[in-house]
Amino acid sequence: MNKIKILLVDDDYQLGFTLKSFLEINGFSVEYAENGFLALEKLENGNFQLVIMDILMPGIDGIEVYKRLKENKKEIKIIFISAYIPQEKKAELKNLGIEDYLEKPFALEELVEKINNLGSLTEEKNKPTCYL
Amino acid sequence: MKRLKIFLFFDKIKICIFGLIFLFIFFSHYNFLILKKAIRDTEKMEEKYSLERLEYFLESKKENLLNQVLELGVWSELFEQVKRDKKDEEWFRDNIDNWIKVVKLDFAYIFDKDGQLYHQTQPLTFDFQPILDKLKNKKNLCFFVRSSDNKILNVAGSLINRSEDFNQEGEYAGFILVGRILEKSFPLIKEATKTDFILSKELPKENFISLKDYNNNPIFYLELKKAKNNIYQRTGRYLKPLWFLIIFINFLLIFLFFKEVKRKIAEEKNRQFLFFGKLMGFIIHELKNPLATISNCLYLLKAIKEEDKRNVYLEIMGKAVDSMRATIDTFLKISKGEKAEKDVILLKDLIEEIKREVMVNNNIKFNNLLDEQIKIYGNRRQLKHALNNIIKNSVESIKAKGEITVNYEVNNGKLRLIITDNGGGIKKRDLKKIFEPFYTTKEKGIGLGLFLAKYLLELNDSKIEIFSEEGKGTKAVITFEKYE
Repeated sequence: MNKIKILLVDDDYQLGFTLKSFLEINGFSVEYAENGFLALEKLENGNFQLVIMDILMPGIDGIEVYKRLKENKKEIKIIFISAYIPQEKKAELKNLGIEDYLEKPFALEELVEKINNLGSLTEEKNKPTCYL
Repeated sequence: MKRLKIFLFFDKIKICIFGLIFLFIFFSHYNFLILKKAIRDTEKMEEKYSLERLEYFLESKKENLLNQVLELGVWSELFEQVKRDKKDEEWFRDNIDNWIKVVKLDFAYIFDKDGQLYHQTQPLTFDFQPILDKLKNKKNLCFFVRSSDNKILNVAGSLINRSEDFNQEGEYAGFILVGRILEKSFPLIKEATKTDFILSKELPKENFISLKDYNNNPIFYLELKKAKNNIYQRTGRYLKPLWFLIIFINFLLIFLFFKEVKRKIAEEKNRQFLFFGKLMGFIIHELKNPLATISNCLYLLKAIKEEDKRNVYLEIMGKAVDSMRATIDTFLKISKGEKAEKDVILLKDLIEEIKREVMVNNNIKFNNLLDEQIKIYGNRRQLKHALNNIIKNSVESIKAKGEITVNYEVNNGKLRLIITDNGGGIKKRDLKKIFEPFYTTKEKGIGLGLFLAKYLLELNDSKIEIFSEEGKGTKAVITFEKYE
C-alpha cells in the first residue's frame, strides 16, 4: 500500500514531534520541517501529497510558503494550523482565499477528519481512519 | 488638503517648522517693536530738531532785521539834510527803495520826528502810533504784527539819530520801520525741516513758538505739525497688512498645533489599546503551542502501551509545561519588573546553546569567537531569552548566504559582547524604533523581540546598542557591567 506522503511544518519542535508520531501511527509517511525555509527545500525535492503547516513561523512563514508554492504553480493540498493569528494576518489569509484552518490545540481526530475531507487525496486509496 | 496631510505627516520636520515659525514671529514682533520705538525716537528728535531750527530761524531773522534797521540809521544824516533843504527828495526815496530790494526786505516806512509818514515802500496798513510811542523809549524793537489785510509781519523799528551820540535822549530825526511778510518765508522753513507750520490764534498745546507783539505779548502761534510723509507713516503703511498676516498665520499655526497634539493623544491611546491587544495575542500564541503539545501527548499516551515510548511523551509534556511556565514568568517579570535570581553563566556555552536553537539552515556560517573562560552574572533564562531574540533577528535578516560572528572586547572594565551579521540591515528610519514594543518590519513578527531583549538585559544590569546599515548588516553591542 502506498502511504500518503505528508510534510509537517511547525516551528515548535515538540509539537511537531508529537504530531509526526500521531500521523505515522495512523499510517502516513511524514517528514518534518522546522521552518518555512526548510519546508520549501523539502517540497522542491520530495513528492508530497499534503502539507500540514503552521502559519506563524520565524523567517518564512506559512503564508509566504503558500504564496511561493502558488508562484511555482505547485498544486498541493495544505492544511493550516495555528495557535494565534493576528488581525492583519487574518486579512491576508482572506485575500488568499484561505478561510479554514485548525486552531491549536485541536483534537487529533479533527486533523484526521480534515485529511479525509480532502477527497481527491484519498479516493483511490483506503481512507485513513483514526486508529486511536 | 493633501498638502496639509503631508505637512502633518513629517513629525520631526514639522516640529522644526513650528519652531522656526514661532521664532520668526517672535523676532519679527520684537523687531517690529524696536522699529516702532526707533521711529518714535526719530520723530521726537525730528520735532525737537525742527522746533530748534524754527526758533533759530526766527531769531536769525530778527537779528537780521534789527541789523538792517540799525544800518538804515546811517541814512539819518542824509534824511535830515533832505528834510531841511526840501530837495533831492526823489533821489532819496529811490535810493531807499533800492536799498530795501538789495537787503531783501519787503517793506520800509520812514516817519519824521512828529510821527508823520514821510515815505513808504509798500502800502500796508497797521496801527503805527503805539509802535512809534514805544520806540521813543526803546530806541529799537523787533516784533510781530498783523496788518489790516491779515498778513503777519515781522517788523523791526528804530529811531533815526540826529547826532552821533545815540544814547542822548530826545535827539532823533524820525522813525524807521522795516520788515518782512512772514508767509513769504515759510517755503524756506518747509524746505529746511520737512515739516509744516501753521499760524494759529488759539493757544496750542505743544510744539509751538509764540510770535510776540511790541508789548511782548504773544499774539500768534507758530505751530509745528507732523509732516505727512514721515518715516513712520511710510513704513507703517507696508508693515500693517504684513503684521495682520503674521498674526493670522500665528493663529492658524496654533490651531494646527493643538489639532496635532489632540491627534497625537488619540494615537497614543489607540497605541496602548493595540499594545494590549497584541500582548494578549502573543501570550495566547506562546501558551497555545505547548498546550497543543500536551494535548497531543495525552492522546498518544492513552493509545500507546510501550513503556519507553510513553516516557518520551511524558518528557515532552514536561518540556511543554516548562515552556508555558517560562512564558508566564516572562510576562510576570515584565509587569512587575522584578529581578530574578542571579546565576554565573559561561557566555560561550550560552551562545552555543542559542546557536543550536536558532540556526535553521546551513547557509549561515556561525562564528563563536568567545573565550571559554568568560563568565557573566545574571538570570540565565532571561539572558538566554534576550540573546536568543537578538541572534534570531540576525538569522532572519540573512536571506540567502551569510555569516554571524559573536565576539567580545573589554573596554573600561566592562565586557562588550559584539554580535555582527552581514544580513539585510535595518533602515535608518526604523533604527530608532526597533526597541519599541510591537514595532516590526518583519512579516511574521509581532515586534516584541528586541523590546523584550532590551528589557531583560536591563533587568540584568546590561545595555544594548544596535548599529546597522541597510544592505550591509547589523552590529549589536551588549555591555555587561560585571564579568570574569
